[in-house]
Amino acid sequence: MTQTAVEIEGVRKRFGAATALEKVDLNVGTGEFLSLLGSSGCGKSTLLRIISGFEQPTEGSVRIHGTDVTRQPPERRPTNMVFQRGALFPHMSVRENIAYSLKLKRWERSRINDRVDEMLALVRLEGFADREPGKLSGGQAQRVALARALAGEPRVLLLDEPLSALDLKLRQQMQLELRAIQKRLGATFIFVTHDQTEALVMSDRIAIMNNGRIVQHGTPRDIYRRPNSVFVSDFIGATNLLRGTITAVEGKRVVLRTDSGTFHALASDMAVKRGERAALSVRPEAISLRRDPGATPEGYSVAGLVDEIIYQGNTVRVGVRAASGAAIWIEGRGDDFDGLSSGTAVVLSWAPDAAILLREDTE
Amino acid sequence: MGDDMVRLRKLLPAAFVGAVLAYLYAPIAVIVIFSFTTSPRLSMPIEGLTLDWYTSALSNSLISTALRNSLLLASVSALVSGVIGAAFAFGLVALKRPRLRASLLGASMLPAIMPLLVIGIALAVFFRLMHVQQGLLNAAIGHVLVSLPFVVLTMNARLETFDFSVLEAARDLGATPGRVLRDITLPLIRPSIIGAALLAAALSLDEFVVTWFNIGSQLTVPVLVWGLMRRGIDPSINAIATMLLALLVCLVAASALLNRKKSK
Repeated sequence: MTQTAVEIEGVRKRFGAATALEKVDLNVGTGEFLSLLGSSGCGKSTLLRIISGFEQPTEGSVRIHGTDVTRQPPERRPTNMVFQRGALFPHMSVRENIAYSLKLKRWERSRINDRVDEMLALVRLEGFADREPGKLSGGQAQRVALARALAGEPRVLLLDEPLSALDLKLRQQMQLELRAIQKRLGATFIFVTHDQTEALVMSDRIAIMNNGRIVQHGTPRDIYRRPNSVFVSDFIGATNLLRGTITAVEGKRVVLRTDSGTFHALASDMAVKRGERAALSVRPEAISLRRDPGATPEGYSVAGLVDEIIYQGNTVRVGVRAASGAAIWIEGRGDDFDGLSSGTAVVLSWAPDAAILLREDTE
Repeated sequence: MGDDMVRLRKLLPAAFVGAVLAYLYAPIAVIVIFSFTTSPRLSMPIEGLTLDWYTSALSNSLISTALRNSLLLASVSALVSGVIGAAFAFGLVALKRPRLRASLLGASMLPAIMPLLVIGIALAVFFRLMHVQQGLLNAAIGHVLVSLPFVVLTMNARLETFDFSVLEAARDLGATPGRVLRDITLPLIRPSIIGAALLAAALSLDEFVVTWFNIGSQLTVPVLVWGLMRRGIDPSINAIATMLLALLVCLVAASALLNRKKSK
């Protein structure tokens, strides 16, 4: 077990009558890349601001490498932050921006210069030391912001949606660069994002937040394969949700009756009762499509008519309308669906372990 | 005939714009021109050019006293309104509650649309109740009152686009609040503060109504000119007005320039 870099214990945050965070517990390991993922207003930025010291929790504590920093102001914490839109000092050159924290630490001038050069090399901006921040592109500005935050060797680097203002190509490139820098330095990164793809690509671990709580955390693979709620399965990647009522429970095997038919599923580690509302989550890429009805696996298939075919280049999405009217999406390689057209009668089926039973979220 | 119509159509808008500009600037132009002419009366054609009115204006001890007082009041307005207004606007913009912000901004703007007559009389009555003798100090307090809303307004406009996250970035990188003010906040907003302060100075220089009700027996340039005018037009008044005009144009231009600079 690696050493814990950040321990968040029972953190609650209220703004007046509104509750932004509801008793959050979270540990981040040293050298870990953790993403806080959620839609806007879920509390992820508030949590980051509590770790950085810009907000005080109403209750609970924050420890960094064993030291309680809950009441420490931001300038005394061993954390540094990369802001959403860089927040570079517009009246200072790139070099002065990166040197700022080192100057405050009263480093010697030559040592500062060496460190700035090292940081510029790290973010591949060697020739840019004397530029004004106003003359940098969005991607360059974020690289400088990263260099500035890393210059003082923070024990934990906090990143508040630093790539969200960049266009897609550049964002994808910066995701890989950030990940590579983090690996090379072995630093602890806490990364806030609302972009699930970004979180999946970059993180060692993802904590998904909703309504001020962490609803699930785990590796990207765990979260994608084993979501623990309808919210998570819907938020991470695309999924088909078949909602209904549990009509039979035999050990782990569960029968769920929905408008689109009766399905079987495995209740992995969740206790379910007859009569409970539940949903079945089946990923679009886990569904296979056949044109002949033939022998369909009872409980793991549904028949319908092709409704829409959406060409996406490397993949194709097909919307199938079940007899009940429910739309089920499947996704596959382009040539998987040659010869299909709107109105074609098809049968959709999936492997028994591809269907994940989820309790309906209680709001 | 078609051609003439077309030409007329083209000329008409230009003539209109010319007439409006003439209306706006002709009186001022007349004063400036006659401050340089030899004839003591306002008459055409101009007989000759001279700087005599300026020398006589500047050698008049009443006028130099008035000028000194005016510059003193302008400096006080610039300094006090500039500092208070900048701090107030900064606090306003940092407020997280937009409705409170809007109402506080509105409240600080109100004196700008209130009749100067009302402000002048109210201040005079207030000072009388407090048993404060009329004088320069009262006028200075009045000038700050009159210029403060404009300082708040220009600072607020500039700060709307201010990126407050740079202040947090500095804190995050290890700067104490005092250090942030010195290294980041002041260097970034200094041009705007100076610009707003120059505007306050300009407003103070030609303030008459509030001054007249509160300054007692002391003089400022506008109060003196008003007194001189009652005795008839003296060409040295033209010279004073022209100097005042030049000073105001410089202040307002510098203010506008400073506010435009760094506002990106």
